Amino acid sequence: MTVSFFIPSYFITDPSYHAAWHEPQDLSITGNREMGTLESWIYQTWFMLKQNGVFCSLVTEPPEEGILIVHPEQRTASFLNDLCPYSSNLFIVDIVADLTPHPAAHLHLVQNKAAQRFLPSSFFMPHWPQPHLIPRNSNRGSRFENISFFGYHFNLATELTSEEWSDQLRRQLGLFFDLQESSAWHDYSEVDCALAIRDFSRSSQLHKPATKLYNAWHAGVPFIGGRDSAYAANGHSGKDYLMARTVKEMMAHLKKLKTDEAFRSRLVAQGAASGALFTRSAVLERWKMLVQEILPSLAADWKKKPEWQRRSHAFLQKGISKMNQKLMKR
Amino acid sequence: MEHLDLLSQKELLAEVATYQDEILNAHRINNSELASCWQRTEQAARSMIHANSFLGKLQDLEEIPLPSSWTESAEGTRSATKYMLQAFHALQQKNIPLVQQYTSLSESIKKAITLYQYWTTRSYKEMLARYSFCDREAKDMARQYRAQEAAALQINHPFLAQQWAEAACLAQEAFSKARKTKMIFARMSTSPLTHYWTIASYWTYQASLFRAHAAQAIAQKNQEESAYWNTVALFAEQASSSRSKAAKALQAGDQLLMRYWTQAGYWLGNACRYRQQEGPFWKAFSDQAEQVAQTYARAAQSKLSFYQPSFLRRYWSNLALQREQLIQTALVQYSDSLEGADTACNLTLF
Repeated sequence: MTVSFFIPSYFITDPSYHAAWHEPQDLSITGNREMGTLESWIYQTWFMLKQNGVFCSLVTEPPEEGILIVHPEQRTASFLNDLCPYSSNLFIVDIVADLTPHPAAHLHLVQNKAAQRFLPSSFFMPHWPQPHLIPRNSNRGSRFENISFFGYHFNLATELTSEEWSDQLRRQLGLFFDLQESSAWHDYSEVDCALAIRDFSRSSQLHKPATKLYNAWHAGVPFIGGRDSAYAANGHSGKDYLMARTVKEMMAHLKKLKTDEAFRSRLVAQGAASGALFTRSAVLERWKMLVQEILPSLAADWKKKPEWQRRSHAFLQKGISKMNQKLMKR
Repeated sequence: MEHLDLLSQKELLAEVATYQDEILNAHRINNSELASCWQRTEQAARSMIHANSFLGKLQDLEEIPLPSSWTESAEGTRSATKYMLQAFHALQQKNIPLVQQYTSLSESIKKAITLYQYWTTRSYKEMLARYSFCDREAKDMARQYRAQEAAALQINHPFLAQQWAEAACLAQEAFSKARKTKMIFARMSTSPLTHYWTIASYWTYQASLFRAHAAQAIAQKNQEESAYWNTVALFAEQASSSRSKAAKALQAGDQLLMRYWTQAGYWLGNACRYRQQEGPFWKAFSDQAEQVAQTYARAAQSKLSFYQPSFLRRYWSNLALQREQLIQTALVQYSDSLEGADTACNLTLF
């Protein structure tokens, strides 16, 4: 069964991607810029698989049959919401990413291992770690001075974006905190600790990945995260990363990291070991297994069902998705 | 506007005095829009000229906070366009005197806006020149201060190490803010955000230098010097912090909060400068400036608090204005005492 990755046609006609479409290239090398979901999940994955000899297509229209991997964003994959079943021979896999799973999909790829427990017909696939990551400069030695956040400012707890907190960190611990611009999200060379706390609530953030944790592991810096279920699902608090539930706890962690060099080294070493499962080559192996073994097997089982069952399932899924759309508009 | 660049201070004041005539003419024909445009232009011009003349007497007076020049220019442009449209309608009705009247009004408003933009751009450029620093230098300073921190730890002097660490953090922060300012400038060079972040990064840089001085004084066991530099450093840190908050308020679209934090930052910067001046009056001016800043900060905090009633915010705001007027009067009197009977320059700080 052919595996296809769906990409909307506007992506292809965009001049900046046109060359990449016709002469496939690693988009991640075109400057260290932000990559949207389509680029990072669909195009990048297809490119990596193709480069490594895995046969799969990049399509702008849903095929009649086979396995279709799609990101279910409203604007780009509106065909998923069509009421008339386009094909009962098509096995749909949606890459949920930061959205909600689409009811029309037969299998959902989730980026958070903890979400797999709560979502039927789901499969955990970690997101690609940051391309062209520059690890911490070894010349920095035992210095512990610079704390950084790599992400959009709205994904950082408001307590940590205030001037008061920067002042407190400076006066109490002599540490400098910086929010890195997107052009520097790959550069950990001058960083001594990565911090990523969305908020200090009890929210488990089931839709969010642990990518910042993986990146910190690969970069060789200690990581302090919030209560995100993704961090807890992939890491071990106290061993390869630290969890902070309050500002006070976070300050205590930073103080310990600053004063206890042995503890810091152990955390980094354990992080490197844990991070081996989430390197680019490790994620590629996961994708290979998914595309070459798991998906064909699941699609074959689904195809064994009688056609009327497949058609009515597709029709029902689309009905649910249509209702969902109407509820969302209210 | 190059001809304005070449005029002397006295000639500039004479030019600005003509704007007064325009205001009077506008009032004579009962056109408040036109009068308001010329008033803003006159204010912007006087502020810029006076800041420069003041600078001649007292080194490095903190700049006048930038008014919301961008929205005011847009309002003026809308008025000019409105009059042009009315001129067009009058032309269709073949009412020539009315066409001339509306055209003249529109041209006058456009001239006022052009001059207003000239004065605000000029004061902005001069401000930028005054507040720029080499960001690479800030990065090198951070490196040096960290080395000093390590040396202080070697000799088991944690307090000294802490001072050097703070100086290093501030230098790094100055570099980071300067980099952010450059990125904003590259995206939209006329954005007021560039103005706010330029000043915020400047004060962070100054704070770093002052902290380093404080650390040096501690190393030399000079308590008086270290207390002095500590005070000056704190003012600079707070000025930077207030300016950063003003920038964030501007980004969030909260004009009132932006104004409170801008004023707080402005007076903290002044407090820092005054404390560095020699003479018996300057410490008193510095204390007064600090008080004004603290009152504006209370107004800002009151606005941010959901639980505090709005009359409290108005109370702090009015108190800040009163204190501001007192210190401005005192400064004018001090300035006049330096120049003797020269009262040609009206102080219009805003």
